[in-house]
Amino acid sequence: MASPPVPVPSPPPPHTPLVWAWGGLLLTATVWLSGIIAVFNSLGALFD
Amino acid sequence: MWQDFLGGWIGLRARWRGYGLPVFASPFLLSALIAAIGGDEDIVLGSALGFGASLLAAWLLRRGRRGDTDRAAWAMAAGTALGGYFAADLGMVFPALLAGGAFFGTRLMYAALPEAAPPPPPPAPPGPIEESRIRLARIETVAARLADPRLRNVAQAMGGVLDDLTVRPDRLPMARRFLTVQLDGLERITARLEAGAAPPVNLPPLLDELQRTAGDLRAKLQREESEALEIQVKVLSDRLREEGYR
Repeated sequence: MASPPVPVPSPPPPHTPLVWAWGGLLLTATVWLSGIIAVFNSLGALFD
Repeated sequence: MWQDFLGGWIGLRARWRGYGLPVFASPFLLSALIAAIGGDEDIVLGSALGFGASLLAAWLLRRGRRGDTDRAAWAMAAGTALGGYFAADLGMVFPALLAGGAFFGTRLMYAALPEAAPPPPPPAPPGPIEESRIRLARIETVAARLADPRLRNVAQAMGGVLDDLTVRPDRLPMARRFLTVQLDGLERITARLEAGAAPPVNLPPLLDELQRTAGDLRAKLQREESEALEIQVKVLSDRLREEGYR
């Protein structure tokens, strides 16, 4: 019995780098921003 | 052209996947250091959790099992929420919003990158009967090569025992000693004969004995089966009589 054909993965949409860029922007605006606020918070606590 | 370039880019990103996440969380390292000097334990804790979660997310992405991108996104969200709450002192609502952003940000950052399928489970080790069959097949091959009819007969008799045990594996404890002692002995004898040893005078009687023992064991197994059937028939007959059907 012939084995079922292996599905060929569809190519990624051409705008994929834009999606990555949006992800990077979101991570910058969230993770990186909370880190920066934490830095200022720690500086405030240091000189308090 | 663009698709080829994109394919190469995806390959490159798949190789380096996950390493970027701790970079986004790197300010937490600085805040932890400054807070440690200032003696603020909450900020140190929040920063450690925020950066630690990014390391966990990176590890998950590097592992690359199916669903690990989602797990990494959850780890980033938890780290951002805890970092925002403890280290950045942003209250309850704002860290939750940041966590949502971190979740979707991670999902988008690692979209279209291939996730590897989980590794298949290792094949189950052969059971005692299968293992004995493999050993017996080796003995039969050597017996055929040596053209020794006695050895072949013993191997066939033992194969018969294994056939019975395959049908009724619950009888295996009865035959375990047979499998370990006799099969082991026959294997050693075969190995010596194959190495060119001259068969001693008492080898043919021993092989006859082994063949007879295998036959006895098969007869014993069959007798026990017959006895079990007899008991079952008797019990059923008594039951039918008690119920008034006979």
